[in-house]
Amino acid sequence: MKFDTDELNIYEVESLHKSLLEEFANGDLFLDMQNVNKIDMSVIQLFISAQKTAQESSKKFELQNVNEEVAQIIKNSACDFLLRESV
Amino acid sequence: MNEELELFCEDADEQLTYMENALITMQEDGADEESIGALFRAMHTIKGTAGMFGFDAIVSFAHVAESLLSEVRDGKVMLTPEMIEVFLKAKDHTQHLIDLVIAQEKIDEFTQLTNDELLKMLEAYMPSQHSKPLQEAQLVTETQAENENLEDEILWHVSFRLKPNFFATGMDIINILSFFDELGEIKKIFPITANVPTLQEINPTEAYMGYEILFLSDAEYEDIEEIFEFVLDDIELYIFKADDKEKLKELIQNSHDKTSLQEELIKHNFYDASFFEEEKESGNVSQNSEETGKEVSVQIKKTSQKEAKKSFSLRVDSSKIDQLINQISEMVIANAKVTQRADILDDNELSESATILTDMLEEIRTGVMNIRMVQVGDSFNKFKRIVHDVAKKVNKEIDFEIIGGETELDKMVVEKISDPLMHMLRNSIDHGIEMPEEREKLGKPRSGKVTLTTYPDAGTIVIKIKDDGRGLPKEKILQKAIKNGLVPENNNLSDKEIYNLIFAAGLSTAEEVSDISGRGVGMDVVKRNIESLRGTVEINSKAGEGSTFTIRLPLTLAIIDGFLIQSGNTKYIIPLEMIQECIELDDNYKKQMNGSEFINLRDSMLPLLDIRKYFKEDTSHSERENVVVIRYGDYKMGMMVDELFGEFQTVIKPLGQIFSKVPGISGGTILGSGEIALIFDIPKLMEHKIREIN
Repeated sequence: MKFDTDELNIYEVESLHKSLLEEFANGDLFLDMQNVNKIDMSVIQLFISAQKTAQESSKKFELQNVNEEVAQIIKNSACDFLLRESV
Repeated sequence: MNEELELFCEDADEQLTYMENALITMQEDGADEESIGALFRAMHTIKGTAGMFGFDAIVSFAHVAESLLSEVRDGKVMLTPEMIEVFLKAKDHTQHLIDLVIAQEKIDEFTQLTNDELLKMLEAYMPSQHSKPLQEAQLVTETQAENENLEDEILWHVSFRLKPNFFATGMDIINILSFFDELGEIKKIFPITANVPTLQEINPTEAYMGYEILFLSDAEYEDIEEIFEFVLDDIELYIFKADDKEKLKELIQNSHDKTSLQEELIKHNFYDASFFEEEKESGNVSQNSEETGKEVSVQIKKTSQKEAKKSFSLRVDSSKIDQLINQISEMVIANAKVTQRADILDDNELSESATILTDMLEEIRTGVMNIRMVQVGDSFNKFKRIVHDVAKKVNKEIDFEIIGGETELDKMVVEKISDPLMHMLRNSIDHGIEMPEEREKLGKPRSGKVTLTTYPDAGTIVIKIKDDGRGLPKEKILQKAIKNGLVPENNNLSDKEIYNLIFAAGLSTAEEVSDISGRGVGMDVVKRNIESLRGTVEINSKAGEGSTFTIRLPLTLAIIDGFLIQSGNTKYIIPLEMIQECIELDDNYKKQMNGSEFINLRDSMLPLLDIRKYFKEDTSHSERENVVVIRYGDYKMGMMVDELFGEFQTVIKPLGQIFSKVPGISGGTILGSGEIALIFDIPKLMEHKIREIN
């Protein structure tokens, strides 16, 4: 799944939630973050939820091609574990 | 606008106003270390709070201004008058940027141009010609602070959980977290994610997370709490010294997390497991440092329990206070009923209780009213900037002084009077004060003097704007008024009446219409605004010596201490503070009057206004007639009435559209018996009497 928006935030989080649910129904979830330059806490929280869901259902969840800006935001939120590859 | 944004606006507004005043004062009296420090802090706060909301444009602009201020503070750059001008412009620009983000508008080309220009101007003053990049600059400040205050540092435990509706605040917690770096060093941090549900259960717009932070800083409890200033209602927050076992226990006990907080804290090396076992030991906290693996012992400084004693201020929506005042007003009316009933029943005990209740209500009333009272100086200080700007624009030199800034007035009144005052000040500078050369020729000092004086006087607040300029052009005003058909050619107007003509719509005598004043749309609006506050405005002027505008405003707008009287069949209220004395109109006085409407009161002539005659009441139930002597400003007048009942706590109620124009009546009130009493509009009655005498 690839995003074409520059920023993901609270305004998109509901539709993002729906997309993640649909994608999960089909199997593993790899999010291509190449075009995303900014995210907020609501989105980070949704990623945490996705990671949890993946762990519970033995599926894979991974953020891919995370650019520096977004990686910094995730580090600033102390949620670096999102950047590690999922099992 | 949501509450947090409103707070941000209020806060930024305060900081910017403060900055402006400080800059203007510096321009006049020179800069001192303290005010430069305060200036720096104001800009720093704006940058910080704007950062919390993610307003990047404001942050990057404020950062450059802040960097330069930091250099000035450290004595590396001298603060010149030119630089103050640039800072004033920077203040205006910051305000504009804030207005734009609040209105959710994009930065237009013109704003961007101003932004770039101002940045260039600010950077030109920097010793290295460039401000340091944002992060680097922060690092330097931190390192300095660390070196300076190492021994005062305290290890704080900060714990917070976002409430479900947190995201609705529009605040991003990541921005808030970044603010910690400004105060100290985050030693350890981990997010609480146990409560985040799976995708099937999550409501993505609700917040489920929290954080545990060990924070080393020399900051006080309040400073750390201030990081969360805008979201205090939207999080559950604990801040305590890391060695405070009691507080830690409380935190763990109150935790609603789905995993054990104690275990999480041990797992993340916040505390040793032994720390929880050794109940009585306190003082040193031992932790495993994740990075070094060595055991670090941090001495916790024993500070006094300052936080417990400090008083704090509270921001309250003014409508809540209005509601409280309304409720108290209703209680006053209800209590008046009880008092009257007690009198009728001749029940002493009930009477006594009612009296106690009356006193208590009065105290509550005064207390609540006081909440709304603010010192006028805080608001009037902004006029310094306006005077400075207008003077510069018209090339005049002005010495502006505010006297009595500590006088207190209802906040709403202060806000509403602000525009009229601004207009009058502009007029004084633009039209009143002469050009410096002209003043010198006239033997006056080059600088024109404008003073804004405020003081309480007999239940009213007086605001005076005085200038030592050329005075109002009497002839010109009169000619213009005749030309406009406002007065006939053969008039017999007094000086005051001529001056009052400037309040008529469309009468501007300014020869050249400037963008400052003189459009002829101002003074009538000024008067209307003042009158809507139940105030009056009066002009005194002397050719060549200057003019004085005197505004008189009532202290409060909701409940007043009144004096209940009756004239004919109607009961009336006179504002108590305007009453000087009451006398009986006995035969002696009546003889003196001899058909006229004056009495000799201790060797001075007192004009009388017969209330029964004025309101065309024809019967009198009273055997005696009384005179209530009232004073309003410089005028005194006696009101001939029938009965005097005494003091009465008066809740002012508007009379409605139909009666709003009744001359001499400003409102009504409900008495204990359910009857209505009308409240006199003393200034209007006084005006009527003066006109009658003239």
